[in-house]
Amino acid sequence: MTPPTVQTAPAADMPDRAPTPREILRRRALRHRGFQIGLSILVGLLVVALFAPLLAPHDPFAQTLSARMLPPVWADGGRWDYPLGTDQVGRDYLSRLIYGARVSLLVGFGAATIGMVIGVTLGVLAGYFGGAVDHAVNFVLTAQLALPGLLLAMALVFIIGPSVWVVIGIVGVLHWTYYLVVTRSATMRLREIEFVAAAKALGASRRQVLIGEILPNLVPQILVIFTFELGVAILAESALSFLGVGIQPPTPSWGLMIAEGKEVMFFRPWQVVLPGIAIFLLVVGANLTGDGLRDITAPEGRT
Amino acid sequence: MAETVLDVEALSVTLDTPSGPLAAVHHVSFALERGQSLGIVGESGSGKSMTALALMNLLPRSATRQATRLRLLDHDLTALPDRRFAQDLAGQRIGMIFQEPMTSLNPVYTIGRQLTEGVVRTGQMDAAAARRRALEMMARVGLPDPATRFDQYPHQFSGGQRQRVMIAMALMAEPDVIIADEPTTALDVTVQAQILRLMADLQRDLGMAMILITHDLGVVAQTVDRVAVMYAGEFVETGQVAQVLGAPRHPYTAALLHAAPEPDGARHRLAAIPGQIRPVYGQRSACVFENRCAHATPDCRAGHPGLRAAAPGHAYRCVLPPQPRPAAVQPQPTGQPRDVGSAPPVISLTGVSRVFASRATPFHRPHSLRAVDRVDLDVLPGETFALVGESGSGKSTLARMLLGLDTPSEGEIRIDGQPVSALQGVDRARRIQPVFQDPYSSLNPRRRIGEIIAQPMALHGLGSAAERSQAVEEVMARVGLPEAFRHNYPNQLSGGQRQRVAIARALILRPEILVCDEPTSALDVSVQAQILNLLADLKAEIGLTLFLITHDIGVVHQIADRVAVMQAGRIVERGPAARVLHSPAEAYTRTLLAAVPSIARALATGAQERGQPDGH
Repeated sequence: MTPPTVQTAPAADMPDRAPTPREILRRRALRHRGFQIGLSILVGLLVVALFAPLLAPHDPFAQTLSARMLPPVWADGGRWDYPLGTDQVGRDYLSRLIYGARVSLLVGFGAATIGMVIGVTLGVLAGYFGGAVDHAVNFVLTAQLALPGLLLAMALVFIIGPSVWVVIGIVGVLHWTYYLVVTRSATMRLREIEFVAAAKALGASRRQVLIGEILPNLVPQILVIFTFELGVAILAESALSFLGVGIQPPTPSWGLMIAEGKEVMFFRPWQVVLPGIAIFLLVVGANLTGDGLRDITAPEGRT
Repeated sequence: MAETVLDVEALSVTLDTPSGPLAAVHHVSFALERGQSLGIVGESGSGKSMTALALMNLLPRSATRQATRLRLLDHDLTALPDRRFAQDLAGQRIGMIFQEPMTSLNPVYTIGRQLTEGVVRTGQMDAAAARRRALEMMARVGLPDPATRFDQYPHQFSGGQRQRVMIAMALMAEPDVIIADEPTTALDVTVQAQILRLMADLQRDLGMAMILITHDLGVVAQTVDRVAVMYAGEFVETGQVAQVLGAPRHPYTAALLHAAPEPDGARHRLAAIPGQIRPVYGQRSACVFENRCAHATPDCRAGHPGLRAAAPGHAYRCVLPPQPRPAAVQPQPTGQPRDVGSAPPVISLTGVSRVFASRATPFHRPHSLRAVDRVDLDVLPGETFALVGESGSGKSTLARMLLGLDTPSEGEIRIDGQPVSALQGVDRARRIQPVFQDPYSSLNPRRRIGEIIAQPMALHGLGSAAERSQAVEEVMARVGLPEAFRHNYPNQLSGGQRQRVAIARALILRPEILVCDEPTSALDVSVQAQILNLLADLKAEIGLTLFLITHDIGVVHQIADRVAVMQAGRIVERGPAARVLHSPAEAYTRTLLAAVPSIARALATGAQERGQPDGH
C-alpha cells in the first residue's frame, strides 16, 4: 500500500456546500416577518419622499383661503380634492405630509450618518489603540452623556439660527454615543483575533488594518445602530420643530405641523393625529428594520 | 459479576437542521459495570459529545433522543421526566466533567460554595457535612491546603487546579457514573498526565463507572479498559483497548492509528485520511466511512453494515475481510537533518528578552514579568526548528517578536543578517510569514478565499490583477486546494482546508521562513497528518525554513530537525531532534517526554500488567 500523496488528500469534492455569509443573511431575512414589515415601511416612505412632486396633488405651499380647515374626506364636509383636508391657511394636508417625509428622512439619514462617522471613528480608534487614546475618547463620551441632549440642541439652534442643515448637523453631532460604545468593544475583541496579526505580519499599515480588516467586520453592528439612530433623529427633529427651534415655516415638517395644529387640537384633531401617525409609522419602520437586522446578523441565528 | 450501572441500547440523537433530520448519534449501545471505564474516541463531528449530552439530559432544544433502553441503576431514563432527572439523578448518580476548566466555574462564587451547593440544595447533606466532604474531596484530588483554598475564588487557581476542582465537584455526591468530556484537552501535557492518573485512581478506588470522551488515542490507551471508536454518529468498533488499538479491524480505526504521529518509534510519512466526515441525513443505506476508505468496494454501498464480532468483546461494522496491516514504517525522504553546517543562520537571536511591566497606580505596585529571558538561538536555512514548551513558557511571545508584532526589551533578532527592527512592511513579509494555530480566527470571515490569499500582494500593490490571479492559482495548487474554493468564504471550508488557505497566504510572497505557531493543534488527527505532510513537502520542494512552535512532542518527532525546549522564558535544552527526544539531558525535558501519552507504551505496559497474573 502506498501512502496517499498530499495532492489527493484534500477533499476534491466540494464539502456539503455551506452557504456564503450573504446567503445566510438572505435566508434569515426571508424568514423574519418584522424585518420585512419594517423595511417595507421604510422603503415605502423613501419612495414617497423621492417622488413627492409626482405624488402630491397640490403645491404644499399654495394657500387657498377659501378652503381653510377642511376636514379629511371621510369626515362631514370633507372634499375629494383635498383628501386629508387643509390647514389653517388652506394648504393641502396630504401634500404637506408627503413633502414632510422629505424633511424627516433627510434629517434622519443625515443626522444618523454624521453620528456614525463621529462615533465609529472614535470607537475604532479607542478600541484599537487603547491606552491614552481610549482615555481621551472615554472622557469625551462621559462629557457627552452628561449633557441634556434636547436642551443643548435647542440652545445651539437658537444661537446658530434654524435651518434644515443646522438641525441635521446638531442632531447628528449629539447622537454618536451608541456607535462609539458598540464599535469600541467590538474593535477591542477583533484586535486580538489572529487575522489582524496575520495582516500585520504581512506588513499592512495601521490604516490598512483598520479599514481593510476591522471595519468590514463592524458593518452589521453599525447598520443596526444606524437604523435605530434614524428613528431617534427623526423624533428629535420633530421635537425641535414642535418647540419652534427646528424646521421653520412654511417648510412642511411633521413636527411643525403638530405644533401648528395644537391650537385647534380639540376642534380639528386630525391636524395633530395625521402627522403623528406619519411620525409613528416612520419610527416604527426604522426600529423594526433595526431589530430585524440585529437578529439577522446575530452570530447564532435567532429567528 | 459486578452490577451494571448504565445500560444503553440503540441510543439515537436526531438534530433538526435546515437540511433535514441529521442523525448525530445512531444506534449506540453499551453497558457499563461498576468500576469499568469506557473510552469514546472520535474526531470532531463524530457525535461523541452528543452521546454524553444525551446521557446527561443536556441536549440542545433542536435535538431529540430515542433509545430502546436507557437505564441508570434501576431508573428508566426514557420514561423519567426531565425535572425528576434533574432532582434525583443529575450530579448525584451521574456526574459530568467538562472540557474547559477556565469557564466551567462561576467566577463570582467561592470554590467552597460551588463544591457544596449541589449536595446541600438537593438535601443530601447539611452545610457542615458538605463542607467536611468538600475538604476531604479537595485533599483527595490533590489540592494543597484545602481549608484555605475552600474560601478562594476560581481566578486564584491555575487551569490544572480548576480541573481538579471540577473533578472534586463531580465526586461530591459519589456518583455511580461519571462522564468526562475531553477533560484534559485544554491542559498542558504534564498537567494532563497528572489529571488522567488522578481520574484513573479515583475511578478504581471509588468503584465508579467512567466514560471518557476524547479525540486523543494516546489518552484512551493509557486511561480506560474498553474503547469505542465513533464515526458519523455510530460506534464503528468496540472492544478492549488492547484489541481495538493493538489489532484494529475497522479501516477507520486503522487509519486513525496510522495518522497519529507517535512520539516513539521510527519516523514515517503519515497516512492522512482524505476528505472529511460526511453528515448522514435520514436512512443509513451504506457504510458511513465508505467515501474516505482506502479499501472501499461496491459491497460497501450495498447496505449499512451490521456489527461483526472479531473476538469475544471485540466488534466492528465493516463488510470487508480483515485487511493485512499496512507496512507502517517508511523512511521519510526529508526526515534526516540536512548538512547545512557552513551556511549562515537565517534567524539569529542574541540575548533576546521580553519584559512585560505593569505601570504603578495608587493601588498597585509595579511588577514585571520576564516572558522571554536572554534567549540565544540560530536557525539554519532549510531546516525545521521546533521550539517546545508548555503554555506560559514564552514561546508565542518569541514568535511574535520574530514576526515583528512585538519588539524585544533587550537583545537583537536578525533575519538574514539584518535586524528585524530595520525590516519594514514588504521586506519583512517577503522573508518571514506566520501560520497561526486557529484557522478559524486567522482568516477574515468577510473576505473570499481568493482575496485572502492575494491579500499580501494587494497590500503592497504588487502585480497586476491578472498576475495576482495567476499567483493565487499556483499557490492554491501547491497547497492542494481546489481552485473552485477561490470564490468561497472561510466558513464554507473545513478546518484543514482553512489551514491550507492560511499556508497559501503565507507562501504567496515566496518567503524563506514560515513561523508555524501550533499549526495543527486545532485540527483533527487525520487532518493534522495532511497538514504535517504538506509542510514536509513544502520544505523539501521549495527549501522553506520552518520555525515550529508546539507543545506536541508527536509533531516534533514527525518533522523537526532540531529542537529547543523552553521553560519559563529560558531555553533549557537544545539539540538535534533525535538526540533530545531519545536521550534528553535535562530533567524538565524528561518530565515533558514522559508525560506524553503514547499508544505503544500504554499497550506495552498494559500487556505486562495483564500478563503478570498468568505468567507468575
